[in-house]
Amino acid sequence: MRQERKLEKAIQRDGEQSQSDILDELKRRYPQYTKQADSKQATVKKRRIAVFSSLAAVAACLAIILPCSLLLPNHQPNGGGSENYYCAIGQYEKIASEYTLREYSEIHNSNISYFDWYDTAEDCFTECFIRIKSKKTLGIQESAYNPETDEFIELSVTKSNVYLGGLESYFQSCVNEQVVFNCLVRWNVIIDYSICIFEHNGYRYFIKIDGGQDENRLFELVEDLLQNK
Amino acid sequence: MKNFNKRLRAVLFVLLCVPFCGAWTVAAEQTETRYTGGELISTYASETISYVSKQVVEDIATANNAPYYSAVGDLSNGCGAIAGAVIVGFYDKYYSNLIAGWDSYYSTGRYKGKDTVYVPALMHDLFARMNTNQVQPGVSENDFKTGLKAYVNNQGYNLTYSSLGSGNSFNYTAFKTAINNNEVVALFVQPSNLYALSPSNNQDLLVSTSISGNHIMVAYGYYEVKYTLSSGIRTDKYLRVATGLAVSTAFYKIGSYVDATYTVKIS
Repeated sequence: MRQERKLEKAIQRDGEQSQSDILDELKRRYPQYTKQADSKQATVKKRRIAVFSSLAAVAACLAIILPCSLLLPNHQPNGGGSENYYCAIGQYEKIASEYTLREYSEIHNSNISYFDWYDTAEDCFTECFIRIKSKKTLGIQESAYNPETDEFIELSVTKSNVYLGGLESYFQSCVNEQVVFNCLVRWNVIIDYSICIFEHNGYRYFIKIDGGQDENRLFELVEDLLQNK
Repeated sequence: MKNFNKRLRAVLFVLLCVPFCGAWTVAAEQTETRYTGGELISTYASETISYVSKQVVEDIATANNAPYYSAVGDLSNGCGAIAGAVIVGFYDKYYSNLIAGWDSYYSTGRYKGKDTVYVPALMHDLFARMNTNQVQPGVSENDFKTGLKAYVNNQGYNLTYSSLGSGNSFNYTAFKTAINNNEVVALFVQPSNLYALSPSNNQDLLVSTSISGNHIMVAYGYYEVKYTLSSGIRTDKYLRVATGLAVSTAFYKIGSYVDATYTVKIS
């Protein structure tokens, strides 16, 4: 209950809905991905406390609260905690990044996988999904054109507990499954493009091939990513 | 004295008329539909079409489709500028320096999807020419057309619009003719659905995503599929559209209401 209150306050400071609203929204939008939320609601009990006993009660509470608060996970809007975090279109923006995905991964010493296409791509663009209010990085998108294969490929990466509006179509359309290198990949071939989504080492990856109509190409790209890190 | 009275009456008459004219102008602008772009809302209205047999009747797009540009961060309500940029980017392949100093396509003919300099600059230019967010949020149909035409004229070319109608039944035959002639079409729509169609053996999956506001998109093709179901025949017709949104390309179902449609031709 205390953890829920702290999280709720953190989210409300950021101008968002309460946690229960966010989780309800997540469950409605992604029933196959969202963990069962704790159904317990934070309740507020009102007590009448006598003057003398209230001092003792407050002191006792402080003795318990303070050490516990130091042990709570640091919830960050970029998904630093384990709670699911949803950010709708309009609450974030895409801004050109000065770093490639590889450089970002190295600088932050993270496990983010990337395509090593920097020497072969004709164009390569890297953008960050930035929460407008907090300026936190919620995800990265890198896209490139390969003149040898005439492919325009788009790779988006978020932490596994972060859900961005605008990437929902992946969840809705990727209804087929394939295991690639022990990794469950959900995919589909849409008329005019192909897409897939998978999770690895705490991150969720979204791949789109403009014009792509062959799912095997998606699996090749997933293999590339998994082997690069 | 008489002359003075006449002049005074004339002046008073003019002064009384001005506020009425102003009010009428403002009222006219306020009743004009504004296009702001809206947001994508996933409706979870996916449909599985199980069929006995299927025939793709038509599957046509302009050469190399169209550029799939999307919003830059500081162009709020900028769907007009984005759609205008898509149209300019499309024709840049055929009219040199329509985007000065830059080619909108690769050597293979495929349109470039992203750019950090020229496309944002183009969008900002169109954003201003279309008077975006000046009177009210977004653009009007008239401001979109005027702004786009002004840009093209400024680059030394002509631009003409041909109306394909509006409502639930725009001129689909004329639309197909335009696409077959490698011309793109500007669509002005109210909150509506975009579709992603994924074919499979004996069943297709149709996933819809809603646009929350009035929006301008660019159509560059069409797709028609005829299903033989156990219960009868079903024919679906779609426009291929460059949406300008996070879902960069989608199908737009024919029969959906459109405010206006225009073939855009540059010469």
